[in-house]
Amino acid sequence: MRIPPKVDYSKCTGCGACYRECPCDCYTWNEAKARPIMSRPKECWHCGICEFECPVNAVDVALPPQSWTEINKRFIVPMGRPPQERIG
Amino acid sequence: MKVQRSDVLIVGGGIAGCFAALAASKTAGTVTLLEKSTVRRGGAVGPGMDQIMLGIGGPVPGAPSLEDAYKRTLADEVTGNVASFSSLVDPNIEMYNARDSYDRLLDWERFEPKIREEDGGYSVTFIPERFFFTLNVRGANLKVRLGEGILRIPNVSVVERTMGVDLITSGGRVFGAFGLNTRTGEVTAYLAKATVLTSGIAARQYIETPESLFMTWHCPNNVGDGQAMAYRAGAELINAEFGFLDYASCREGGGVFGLHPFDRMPIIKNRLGERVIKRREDHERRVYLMAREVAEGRAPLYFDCSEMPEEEFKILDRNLDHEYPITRKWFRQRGIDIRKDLVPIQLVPAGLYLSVLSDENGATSLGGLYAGGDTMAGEGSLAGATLTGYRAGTSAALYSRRAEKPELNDVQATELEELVKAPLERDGGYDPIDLEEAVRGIKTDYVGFYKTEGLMRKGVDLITRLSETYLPRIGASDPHGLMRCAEVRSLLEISEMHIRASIERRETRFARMGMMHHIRLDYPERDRAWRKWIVVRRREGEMSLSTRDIPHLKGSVRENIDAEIARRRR
Repeated sequence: MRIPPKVDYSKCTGCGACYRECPCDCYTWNEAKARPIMSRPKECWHCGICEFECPVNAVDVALPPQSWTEINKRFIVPMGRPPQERIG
Repeated sequence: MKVQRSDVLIVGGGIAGCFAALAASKTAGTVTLLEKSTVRRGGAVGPGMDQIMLGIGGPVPGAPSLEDAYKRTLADEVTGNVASFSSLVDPNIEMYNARDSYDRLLDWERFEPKIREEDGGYSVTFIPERFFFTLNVRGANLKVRLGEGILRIPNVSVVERTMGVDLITSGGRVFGAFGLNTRTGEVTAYLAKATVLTSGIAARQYIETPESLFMTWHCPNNVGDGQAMAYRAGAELINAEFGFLDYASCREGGGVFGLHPFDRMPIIKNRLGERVIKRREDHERRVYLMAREVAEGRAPLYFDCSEMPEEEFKILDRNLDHEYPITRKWFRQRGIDIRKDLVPIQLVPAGLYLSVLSDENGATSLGGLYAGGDTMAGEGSLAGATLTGYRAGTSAALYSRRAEKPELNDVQATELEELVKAPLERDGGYDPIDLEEAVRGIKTDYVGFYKTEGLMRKGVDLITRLSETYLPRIGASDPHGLMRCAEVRSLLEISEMHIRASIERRETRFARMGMMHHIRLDYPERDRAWRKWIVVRRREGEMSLSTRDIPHLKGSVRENIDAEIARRRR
């Protein structure tokens, strides 16, 4: 479930701050409507910068629900007892 | 191809790049700074930072002095400035970091006065277990202020939304870099007499959370572009085998629980509610011990803040508003009250220590090329970036004053432009992000935290095949896509360096430190004979590995530090 930042266009003034500062360049700019579009939700880092940069609180960055879980996946393999006595 | 000339070119506008620009602007005529995103928000500190780790405190009461650090280095111990390690670190770099530590803090304060408290003093947390302390800073806008400061320097030209894709080389020397504008797709030759690489850590290496690509503790713009560019130009790199494991309380903003002394930090608990770190001496290797809990099936892990001393909790609580402040909102979303509830944490493979081999002044093995911040092997983190970035900038500026006029290698320029833009020509080419997911998946399953030679050999074979089969077929529909294609090209090379060096180092090292790790199940003990670097470089188109002894303290560095200690005594 992807939860990209949401822009509330009823508040958005079209200042372009989110488009200007997004580190991953997830927003593009709609020239006709003079407002940002969240075009690359797959590349969002959820860093919160667009929300902080927005002067009128029109952007909402939420944590994707799948990361409400806290169990490590894959990288550290459950393996019973690793040979820790001999390490270090 | 469009050509832009300057005396010094800096690739990467995070903390290290900004400090390199600051330093270079003082003596070089013109400085150009390339940044993939923006200079106000680019880099790992873009969303804010709560602590600055320092080794030497200048006038901070009770802080260790340069002399203390010198004695420690001479005794071949951990100098502990920022996150240094007991070995495999160049002591010359450590000593210069110790020397410059307080000066860089003063530089910071020119940009962001909120490093100090309202009363003009510092909020200091001493970590008795380690030879350093941290300043708690109200740093939500640390990078914004620094970036705006750099934009005001008249002889620094900041070029945003532009990533470095390759170094411009001729006769084994570096003359700048090619930059790709990720919004227009234009490739420009940024010719310079001296070049500084400060493009950050090699993050995006493993699958941290399978469902999403960029969920990495580190800034996802940090792919290790600088390291890969240096590699392709023939520079020497080290520490490719070492991973960086950290814990995160949400997905990003891992360090929001910051550094605290052992008896004043949140208690780390496992699934059974047992305390994971029981003794003060285990504090140093806490990440390693946490990994063991996961391996032995006692995850998830939690922070329990309920018994923290009130004053320490207040600092932690305030820090939440400054390091990646979005984190507080996430705790709210999940209904977590950090004072009362257990706070879930997970271990995150945050990147590699892969770095361009550089000396104490940031000089690499190639003429005209310097490196700073996480791109070089010195010290990571925010303070390390200011220290090594600044020195690399200074050295590059000095070099530029005696260097010859840079020349563009036309053949290289044409080939590079074709290579970078080729994905635009491929209608229906494969998505570079899908290729990245595959590479990260292979590394996660075949390398992972506990390494064995057999699996790693299989892994490197798979990655080579993946690279041969799919790299020539990735496509882009816009300039932004070209950036992702250029990144995955670097990522594949870095992955190969990582696995080959991991196979080569037949020992287990840094298991005790935990955060920096290379754990071999087939060579589970630390081996003194391996107290050396594995150097990776490209020779005649092939990846070659060799070993190098860790340098001793140089006579010139000793003289410099002796003189500095004498000066400070007066």
